[in-house]
Amino acid sequence: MNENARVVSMENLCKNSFLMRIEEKRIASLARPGQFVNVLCSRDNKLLLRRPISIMDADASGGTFDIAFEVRGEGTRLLSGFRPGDMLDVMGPLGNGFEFNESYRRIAVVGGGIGIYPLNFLVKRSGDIEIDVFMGYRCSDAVMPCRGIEEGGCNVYLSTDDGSAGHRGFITEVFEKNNAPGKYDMVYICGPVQMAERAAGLVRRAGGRCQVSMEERMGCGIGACLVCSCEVKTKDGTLRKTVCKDGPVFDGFEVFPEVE
Amino acid sequence: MHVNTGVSIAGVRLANPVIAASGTYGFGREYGEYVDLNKLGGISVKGLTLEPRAGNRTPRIAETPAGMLNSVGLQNPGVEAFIRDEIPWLRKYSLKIMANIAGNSVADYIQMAERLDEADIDMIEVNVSCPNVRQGCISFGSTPAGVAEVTLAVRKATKKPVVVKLTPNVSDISSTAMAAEAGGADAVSLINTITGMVIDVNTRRPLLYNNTGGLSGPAIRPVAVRMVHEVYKAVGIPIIGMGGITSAEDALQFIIAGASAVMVGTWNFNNPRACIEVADGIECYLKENGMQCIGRLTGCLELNGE
Ligand SMILES: Cc1cc2nc3c(=O)[nH]c(=O)nc-3n(C[C@H](O)[C@H](O)[C@H](O)COP(=O)(O)OP(=O)(O)OC[C@H]3O[C@@H](n4cnc5c(N)ncnc54)[C@H](O)[C@@H]3O)c2cc1C
Ligand SMILES: Cc1cc2nc3c(=O)[nH]c(=O)nc-3n(C[C@H](O)[C@H](O)[C@H](O)COP(=O)(O)O)c2cc1C
Ligand code: FES
Repeated sequence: MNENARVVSMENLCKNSFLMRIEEKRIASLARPGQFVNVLCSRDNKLLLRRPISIMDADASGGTFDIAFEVRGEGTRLLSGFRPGDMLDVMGPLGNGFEFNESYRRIAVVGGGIGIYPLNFLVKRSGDIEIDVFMGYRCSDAVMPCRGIEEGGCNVYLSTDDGSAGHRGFITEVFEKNNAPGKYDMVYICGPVQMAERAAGLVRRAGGRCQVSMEERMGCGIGACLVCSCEVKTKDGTLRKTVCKDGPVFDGFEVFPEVE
Repeated sequence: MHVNTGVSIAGVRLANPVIAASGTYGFGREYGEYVDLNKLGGISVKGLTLEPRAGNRTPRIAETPAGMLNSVGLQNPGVEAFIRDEIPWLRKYSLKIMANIAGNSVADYIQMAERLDEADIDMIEVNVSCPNVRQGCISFGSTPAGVAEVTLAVRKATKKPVVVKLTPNVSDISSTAMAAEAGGADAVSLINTITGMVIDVNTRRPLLYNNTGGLSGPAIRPVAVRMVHEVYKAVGIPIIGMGGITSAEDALQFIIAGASAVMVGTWNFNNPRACIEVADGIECYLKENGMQCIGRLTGCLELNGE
């Protein structure tokens, strides 16, 4: 459904990133980690297409949910101009979300940049289990606070491309070095496609399992227009799925199959 | 005052003149969660081909000023899967069903029309205007001879009403419209998308993987209205108008220019209730202007200086 929701608060997380709290009871109570909302970023329709943004937290009893976003272009720039009290047109919650099994004792989340946001919600919702968090950023300026992860008592590993915080280089290097990617019940991956593919490859080689949240440019956001198509290799053969409705979360080995 | 928003096209009675445009509404299932499908006049389903198609590689979409380019490339499950999996579900609603078909060859169009002739659909929309596939389709739609050839072949293959969907990527759209009429079309629909390109200046490559795509949305509306006006002067068969409709006022421009019904496409992405809001707005306009039905509005345009 699309709703006229109210912006409750706006916070500048770091240089170009914002955290927005939105009051909308239905979305707040239905939202699951890995799902997203499709947001109309301009009230006077300066932009035609909505922008997909992950739900990074939800408070069912308070009737609010949070999104966090980085300003990339016109849509996210306009979104950053919203103020508490403003009305916002959001469709959601959309997509399938991460699969989480109560029997999991040890999981890892691997995120790059804005890919950390949906993983934050997962960490918050996954209860009292052992969680290793691997976060990769461009530079220390881009490292933003993530409440779920900070309060969750997780083991946090950090990397930046320029070495200004944590390991200098890719987060997948840290993931490979410090840990055996096979020792987790499930690895959750979200970030740039090269990072996701590399991380999924490490998990495969170590004999583990993983889920990847994919990004694709969208039109409708609900599975009707097929612009967000993604190829997956399943046991039933190669299929075309929609990132917005069948995804955005897929089995990591189905979206990044082993190249023969 | 009681107003009647119903319209008849080729003997098919639509409850109102608003039809969801092909390729933007799937087979109705997804938007069915946002709107009551019974409140639409009809749906033109995603373009069908004889065999299932995977479509083009992504990115398949790029936003442009007041519009967007798409290069989906007719991803669809094929005509058999449509008949088996989609029609029974869609038939539970009162909206009329148009099967939009696209072929690589005239033989493809004939085979699909024959198969759909037995199916429980209301109309066939012959798509000779998809700009995103290598073979067939738009190559037929680009010339009057090609349009006539496909229309004639489909006409012979089915008793269902035949609507021919025209491309704006021609120098004179009235001549392709006349070719459709001569070939036996019951109606024409226009416009499909306008071929365009967006370049990423950092990579110096087109943004769409397919290089080019079809432009839709408000940006194309004035072109579409002008083309409906030209086609209305050229043919006697009904016209279904589309291109950038966002509101009842936009839809009424098409109707006044000569359309008997309209389609709403891209704007559904912005507002999932767009089709219903356009239909409701048209009803209000009729009431406010003391008109009992839409028929009198179609083509009532008065040009300046005449
Ligand atoms: C499922 C999903 C969840 C996402 N979650 C978040 C999030 O939590 N926080 C966040 O900051 N960003 C997130 N993104 C990315 C976000 O959608 C883009 O950064 C945003 O659409 C850019 O819009 P723009 O107008 O600012 O940029 P522009 O580059 O001007 O956008 C132009 C067009 O491209 C599309 N586009 C550009 N980049 C992306 C991208 N990476 N993914 C999909 N479409 C894109 C836009 O939607 C728009 O249609 C998510 C993307 C997806 C698909
Ligand atoms: C994503 C997308 C997919 C489309 N697919 C089809 C199609 O399969 N067959 C067809 O005849 N037209 C297709 N079209 C064209 C529309 O039906 C319509 O003619 C065009 O978009 C102009 O109307 P609009 O501006 O309201 O969208 C598609 C348009 C879009 C945006
Ligand atoms: S964005 Fe339309 S199907 Fe995914």
